[in-house]
Amino acid sequence: MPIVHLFLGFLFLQAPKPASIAGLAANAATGSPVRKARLTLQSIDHNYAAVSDASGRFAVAEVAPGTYNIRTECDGFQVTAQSLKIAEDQHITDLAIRLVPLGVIAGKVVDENGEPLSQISVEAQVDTFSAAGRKRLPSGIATTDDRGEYRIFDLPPGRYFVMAANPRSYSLLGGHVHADALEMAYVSTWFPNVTDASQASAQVLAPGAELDGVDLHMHKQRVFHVRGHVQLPPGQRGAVDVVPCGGESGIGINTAILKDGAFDAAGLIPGNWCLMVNQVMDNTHAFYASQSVTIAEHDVNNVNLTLTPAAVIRGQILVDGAAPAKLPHMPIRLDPVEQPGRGAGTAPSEDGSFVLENVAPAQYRLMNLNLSGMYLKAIRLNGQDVANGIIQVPQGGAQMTLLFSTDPGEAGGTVEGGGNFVSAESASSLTSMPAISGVTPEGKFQFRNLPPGEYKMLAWETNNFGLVQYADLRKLFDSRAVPVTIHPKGRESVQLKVVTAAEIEAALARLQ
Amino acid sequence: MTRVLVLTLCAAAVHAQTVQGVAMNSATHKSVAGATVQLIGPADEGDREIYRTSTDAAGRFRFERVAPGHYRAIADAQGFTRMLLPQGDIAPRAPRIVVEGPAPPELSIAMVPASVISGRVSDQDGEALRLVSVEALQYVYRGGKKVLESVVSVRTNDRGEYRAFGLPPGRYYVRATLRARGNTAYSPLFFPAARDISQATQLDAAPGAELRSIDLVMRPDSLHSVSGRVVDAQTGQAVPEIYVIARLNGDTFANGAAQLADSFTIANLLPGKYVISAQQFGGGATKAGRIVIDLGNADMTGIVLPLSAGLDLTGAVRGLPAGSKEVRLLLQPENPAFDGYNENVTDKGTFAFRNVRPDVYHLIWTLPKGVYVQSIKMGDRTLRDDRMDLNGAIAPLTIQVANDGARVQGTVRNAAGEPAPGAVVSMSADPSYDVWSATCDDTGHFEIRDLAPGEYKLLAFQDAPQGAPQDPDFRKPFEKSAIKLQVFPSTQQKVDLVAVQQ
Repeated sequence: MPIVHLFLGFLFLQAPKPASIAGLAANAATGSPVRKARLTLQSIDHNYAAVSDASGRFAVAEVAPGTYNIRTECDGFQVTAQSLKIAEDQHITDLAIRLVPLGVIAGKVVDENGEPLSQISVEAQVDTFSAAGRKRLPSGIATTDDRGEYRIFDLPPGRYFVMAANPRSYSLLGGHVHADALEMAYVSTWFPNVTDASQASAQVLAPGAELDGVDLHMHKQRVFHVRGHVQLPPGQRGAVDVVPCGGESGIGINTAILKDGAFDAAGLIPGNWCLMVNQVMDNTHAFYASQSVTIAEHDVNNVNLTLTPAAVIRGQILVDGAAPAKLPHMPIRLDPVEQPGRGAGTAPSEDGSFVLENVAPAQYRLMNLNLSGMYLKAIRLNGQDVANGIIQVPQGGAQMTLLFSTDPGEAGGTVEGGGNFVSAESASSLTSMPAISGVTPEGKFQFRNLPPGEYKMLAWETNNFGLVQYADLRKLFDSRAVPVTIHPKGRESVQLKVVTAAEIEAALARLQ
Repeated sequence: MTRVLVLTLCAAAVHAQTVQGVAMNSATHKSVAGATVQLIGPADEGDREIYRTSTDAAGRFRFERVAPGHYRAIADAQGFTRMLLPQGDIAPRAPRIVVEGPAPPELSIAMVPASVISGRVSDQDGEALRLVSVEALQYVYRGGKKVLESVVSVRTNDRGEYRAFGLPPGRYYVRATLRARGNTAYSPLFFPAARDISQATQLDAAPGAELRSIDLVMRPDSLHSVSGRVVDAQTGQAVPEIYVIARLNGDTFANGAAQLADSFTIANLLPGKYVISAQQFGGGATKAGRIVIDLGNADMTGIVLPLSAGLDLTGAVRGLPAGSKEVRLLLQPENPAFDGYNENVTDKGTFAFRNVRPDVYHLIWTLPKGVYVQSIKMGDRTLRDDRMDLNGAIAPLTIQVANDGARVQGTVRNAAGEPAPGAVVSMSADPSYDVWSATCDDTGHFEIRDLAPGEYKLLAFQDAPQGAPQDPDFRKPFEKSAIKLQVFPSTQQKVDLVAVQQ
């Protein structure tokens, strides 16, 4: 005990004069003070907390000097974080914390007779962007109550598509279902009462706004079955995933395979549906089946799904043409091109050899490998070069060689007009994503590990990393891109002019 | 040969049946249009056969070509209590039907309108608390134990409002749980403003009714610590290297800390009733201790948790038929947070519970068919019921069983005079060591054997929650309409009952 006291005393003797921080939390949209905002100030070795009072003011009396991450949370507002450096004996009295208010979308879901529909899941969807393209994903979700009312809150400002999802109330029990000849069901419906996602219209939600009366009328529509058979290994149970082919995710269904191998997927609207069985039975046996069917005006019966055992890929990593003596830890992973799919991954041994087990015969990409001083130069499958990086795994498995080179080039420079990211895209790339570098507050960027080749570079004023990956958007700014040739071990200097947030916004509007 | 032929003929004769009927609102007795009706076959052989249709404008449904077999009929619609329960179970009140021989009778499916409990959760300033979990809770029976279970759980919205709907009519407690927001901690709160369920108000949700303004105000609690010493009860010495657990009574929340040498401190506890426990293994018998503390709004110090080897409760079951097998006894602690003790009775009729923690227990038994418990004595003292306090002095138990039990049978009908299959009959006497119950078969018939002689109250329930008819608190409001029956040794009696209106 005395030792501890001595130690603390020593610290106090050395302690610098404390600083203090006080300020005001305010609504970024209205400027009005925000009460009960919870602040946490965190440095490497100190932690403080404060809560704003009724006039929005907060104060931390004694703060050790240092660099702090200040995080502010308050019900109904977006979380903010900012960095602040405070010196010995410095007294900050007017730190302004601006909190962006979150909004609400509310309404009612009713049936064709205007009667409320309860237990309907309502999603506020936003467009998100990534290398895979544009995808509409839920940002907020709520369930209707017994009056059919829903209320999605804590939504950041933005453009929202509101969808009431197809209820699946009676798919709980598995069995041989004998249903009426004419089956009707409610189907997923977007505002304003359309069942086709592309006809949905966006609701613009301003900061802190409440959009009421976003009502949805669901109508019953003819729905159909897809029935068939899968012969699972004895004693195994499984399920068939039924999803729209190449369409929106999240509106597919999953139906159990019965003991006799029969399956019955019910409640499907006309269209192209992809049926998939993709499951690992145990650690060494996986099975895969895939087939698409078209529903027009009738049930689709007698679909026989043939299970194929998953493949094994044996591979070797070569660095500069030779097997490495001591490969650093470098997990590799195959990502399925089509969703839903199952990836496969492994960690190669030190001599660069690896085995990927349980790989369903489908198309994959090698996940972006980020290795300092090395880059992926080529992928060979059964001795053939994989040109665009899409690996088609054959049923019987394959031999794969991954060739790495240790002569990457570098490129760096400045961006006129600031910006957040720089993209470097190469037609000969083996990944679907461009190389992306961050931009410093001073407008500088640096790529250290570029495979040699021809590149097009663009600088972007956006915080949305996914937008920079979005190929369709980059294409629109193709004429603005700066061509750069990267030579082995070369160093290029590049000057870029930023694509502004307004220009990105306008381009996205054109892409709608 | 003859037998095979008959079977074949039967199968051919009952090849395809039509099943029809009506779906009714159980409260208004009006038909329900647009309900989804399902006939569900048994799950025990392969996969179920399921027939599905909807009711027409007059609430009627019709299934064509139903394969022979046993089915349960369920109907679901907006605003009604679900008949297909989670995990694929079917509500006990779903009618049973056998499809065979001549056309099956007309089906009537009673649909129970669901109840709603709604309100608002706010902080001490009256401001809305969002994303608070609000549960409608009910005591249910799981494996003979009465446990508090969440029937519907919802969260408050940004205005602090919640709405628990789809509730089967019944009696509910409402609990709001937030735990922590920022640096502020909140204790789970029962309506109207209780930390402990014993001070909570039970709400009566009638079919189709809404209980409004079930509002809760959550006040911030600070977190406190509990510190003290774990000692050996015999020597009074501190027990080194032992882990101490604080578990919130009737909750899953727990926290713990180690006593390395001579003291322990368990931090970050919300106010409330805790069970503080520790257990020492090795060196012969396990020593254990537990105490209940009521942590208020301050740190608690100076707790002393004595560890002791448990006590031995021995005894004998007398009057068992010769060669009785699998006679078992269970000591079940009154506090459901604690574990019980199981023992087999030897073929000499003796038993011994070793190392039992001093506590209040209920004795539960599994006896062979043909006998009932006539008396339980601890030493010379006759116990009034199956409850025993083992905190004080104890003496060997004598459980006297007898084989002159009575048999009661009969039929349960509903208010309309129709047989009530699936209804549950309970028979209770006071004083008594047991509650007898039976479930009616497809014809509404029940039978209870091995009844201790005495004066009984009989009740039949058609839609009671599973296990509830065995609960005296549940039965109490109905007891004025109970049938009284004097049961004499070794007799057979017949009683027809009408299921109570709930």
